[in-house]
Amino acid sequence: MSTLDLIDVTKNYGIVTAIEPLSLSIGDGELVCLLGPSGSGKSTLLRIIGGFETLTAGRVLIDGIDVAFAPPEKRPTAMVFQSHALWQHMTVFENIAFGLKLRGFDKTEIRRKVETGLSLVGLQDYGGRHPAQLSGGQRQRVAIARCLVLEPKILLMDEPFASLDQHLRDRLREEVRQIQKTLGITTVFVTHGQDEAMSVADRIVVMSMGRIEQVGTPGDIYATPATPFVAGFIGDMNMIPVMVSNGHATIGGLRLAASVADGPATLAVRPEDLTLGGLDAAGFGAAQVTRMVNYGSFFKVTALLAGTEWKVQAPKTAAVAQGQSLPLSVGRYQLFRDDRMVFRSDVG
Amino acid sequence: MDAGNNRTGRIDFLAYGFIAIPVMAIVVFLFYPAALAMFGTLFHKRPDGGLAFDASSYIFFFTDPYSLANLMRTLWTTFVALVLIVAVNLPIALYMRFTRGWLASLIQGLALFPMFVPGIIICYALIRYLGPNGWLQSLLNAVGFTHYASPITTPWGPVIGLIWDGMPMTLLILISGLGTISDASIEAARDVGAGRLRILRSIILPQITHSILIVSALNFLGFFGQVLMPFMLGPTNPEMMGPFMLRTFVSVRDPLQAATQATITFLICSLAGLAYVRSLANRKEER
Repeated sequence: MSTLDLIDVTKNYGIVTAIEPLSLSIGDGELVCLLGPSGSGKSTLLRIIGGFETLTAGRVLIDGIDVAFAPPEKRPTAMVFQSHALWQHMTVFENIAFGLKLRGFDKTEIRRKVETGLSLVGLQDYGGRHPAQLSGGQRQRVAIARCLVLEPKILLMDEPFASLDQHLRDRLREEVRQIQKTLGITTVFVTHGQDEAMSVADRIVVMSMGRIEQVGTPGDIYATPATPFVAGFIGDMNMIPVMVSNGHATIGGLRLAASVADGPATLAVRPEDLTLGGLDAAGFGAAQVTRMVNYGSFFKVTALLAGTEWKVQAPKTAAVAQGQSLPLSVGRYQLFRDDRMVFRSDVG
Repeated sequence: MDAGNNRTGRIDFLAYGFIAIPVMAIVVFLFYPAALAMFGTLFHKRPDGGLAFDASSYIFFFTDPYSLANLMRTLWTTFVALVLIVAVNLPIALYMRFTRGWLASLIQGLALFPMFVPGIIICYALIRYLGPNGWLQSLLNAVGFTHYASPITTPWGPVIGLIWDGMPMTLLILISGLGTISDASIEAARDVGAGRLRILRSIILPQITHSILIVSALNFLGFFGQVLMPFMLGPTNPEMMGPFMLRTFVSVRDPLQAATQATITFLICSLAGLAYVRSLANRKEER
């Protein structure tokens, strides 16, 4: 059982706050993604967990033991770095064995563990090579094996696939997820790619400006973003300013139920929750199709309504053509006001 | 010949043109007279005008206790200065590589300062500071310590001068070598449980062996043939090869023996040069 609890963790660099006080609990065997744009504090938070940054205040508990001020070498964590950080003068075998030697394992045990680690990442025959003789993906696999053989309580991954091409990234991501599930190792994974987070995480922690914006499963985060930032950051989202009065949000002929106080708000609708050309749609507005991009299985349509561009995902079978004026209707939607969600159409 | 080849041909011709002048200058003004001098140490003119092989100057050198003592003193000074210059500069380079801030900048400035000071000024400064009745002795006398023995007149005098003189280049090369080690690779070592000494021994030093080898080779060449520092500092008997050659040539007026000493110096320095070239070649191969 390995759990990680961050309690009121804060990090300041002089007068600049990198991490505002935040708390987070990660359960045993869970894979949690820290997701956010550059400068959101996700890597700093990971480095605090790993011991590479000293926190300004707060506690870092691993299995209930506070390691907040322990150096990296004294923590039961292991980190996979973005740049793989392999030691160029050592062979693959020596890279993986280095940590085991420091832990005092005998030669036979080291050999057994290194071979197990190499086979776990599919590099059984590469022990004698130097990092310079490996491809980018193979190097990152070695870096992962180097961490796994130490059997850390918490595995930390700092954008491990950022330097790899898309195809390799997808493959390695799946492999890592499989290994993580097999070993049941608690993992914190930093990424700025929402696709990556959505595909590997049990839970996603969306961060911005050193704050946690939302914590939830990939499905929850996508379906019900808690803040305008999350709504705009995760997936495509139309963020349209609307006026609410008498229980309805209105814009250019669109009239949507909204049981919130009167005043301005931001309407958030996913492209797939918009329909162009639905004849019996209630509360529709007439939108002009200005652009269509063929994505193979669907069209991404840009339509103009009330002077605002709306992104619509239309099926291949939809009778939509550029220049057409068609009724635009809204399915699921949310309303945001003062940086928080105030209304969900599917809840009321 | 197509246009591409013409173009390539022109570029090659231009490149040879560019290097021709310096290569000619080196050959005419350096290699030729050096080869002539070396040849002259082994082949002497007979009374009948012909040339005869004669290694008597070498036999003299290797049987003359004074010459051998000078060679040994030169080797001792060079190796001691070499070990100390790496030992002094490595911690400074490590500090400057892994620390940021005003103190690191200040140390860098101080360490590179000797680069801008002529050697003769350094010699006088060391004599005035460390020499007999110098500032240090006066300062120690003022606090009641009267047993100061100046190192300037001992074999350590040239060692101190050589370290001071070779410090900037050594530091720059070591810092450059350390610059190739990423922060992440150090952090990865800490992450798997390595302490500072272990990181130094297992991660940092193996990755800067090229730099240490280059520093050693270049300093060896510089130290072994030094004239100024051993001439100004240290004892006169035995003396280093630099002042020994100078004195043999200018004061003793024995050009043959001076050329023999120079050839022996050249051959010993060639070994260091060879190590330097091999290190560069290995590095290129690794890349």
